[in-house]
Amino acid sequence: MKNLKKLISLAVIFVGLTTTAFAQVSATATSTATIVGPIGITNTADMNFGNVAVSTVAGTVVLTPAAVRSTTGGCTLPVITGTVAAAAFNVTGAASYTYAITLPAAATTITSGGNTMTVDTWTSTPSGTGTLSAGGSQTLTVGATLNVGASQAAGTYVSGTPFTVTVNYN
Amino acid sequence: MKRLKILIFSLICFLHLAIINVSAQSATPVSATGHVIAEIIPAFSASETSQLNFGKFSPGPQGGMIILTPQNTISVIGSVFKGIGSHNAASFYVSGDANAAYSISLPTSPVILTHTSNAKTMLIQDWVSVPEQGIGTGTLQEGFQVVYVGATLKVGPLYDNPVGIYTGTYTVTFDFN
Repeated sequence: MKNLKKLISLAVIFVGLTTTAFAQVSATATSTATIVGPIGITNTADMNFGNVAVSTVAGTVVLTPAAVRSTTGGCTLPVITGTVAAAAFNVTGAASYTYAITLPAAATTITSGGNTMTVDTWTSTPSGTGTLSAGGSQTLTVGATLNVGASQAAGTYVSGTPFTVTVNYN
Repeated sequence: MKRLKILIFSLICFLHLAIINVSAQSATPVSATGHVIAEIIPAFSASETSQLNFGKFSPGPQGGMIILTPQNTISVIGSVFKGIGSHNAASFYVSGDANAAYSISLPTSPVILTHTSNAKTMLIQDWVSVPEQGIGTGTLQEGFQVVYVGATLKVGPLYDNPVGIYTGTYTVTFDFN
């Protein structure tokens, strides 16, 4: 009987040690929580409203984050569209994390020689809060509204100072 | 058992550190910038989108005529032989206020084409367009219209029109009424 007791206690110790070994393994895996890298954002495409025809009446061109245009007022969209593109950004970070998107609060001025127009009313997809994919990335597209003056002078207008999009983990 | 406890404790510490590390990183917002571009087309404008090109051909002993319609079909009269290669009716992109009517004026006198390396010339006459020329014949239905232009090229005998490239310029005028 004494012999048997010893055997049992040995067995218990053995099991305990095995558990320890297991705990160590899984804990090491968890500590690879260095997956949570810093959030990052890079610009992959500039915003382009394409060709816009003007008249003696002021108007606007609304560009959605899906790069679809619509107009108000005296603006028309010629059949030769030119390059139309929503701005695109690549957001990277921790898998499945959500993050807050901050779009410009003010208007951006675009110029052609001495002529200017403003771009405001920024929109994005996703809007407000984004969620990174299982791979830890997401494409963020940005649209805005172009304000065109009456008889706006012809030309290619480009922003002198670029607009800024900010992201941060929630 | 004591040893096991120590092991677990150190693991907890490690995890805790990792979590602290994470929250420190998440406090830093990051930004990227992008540019904005837009192309404004003037209130009323016209630009050539395709050049008038009669293509390649060989003159015969008597010369002849090449007729290029605005619809871009080509035909030959007389002793001229159409060669291989592309030809093009001219096209102009006219834009402005939606539904605005405008007038189209084509050259009234023959336009001279000159050989690129000698003084030999050819004449272009009988200009035709779609929509046809005249007062108020064009309409910018959606704020634009494409105007196609064709004409007839008079080709002389080989002596007058030796092999080579002939070029010239002509003017088409679009007017708001």
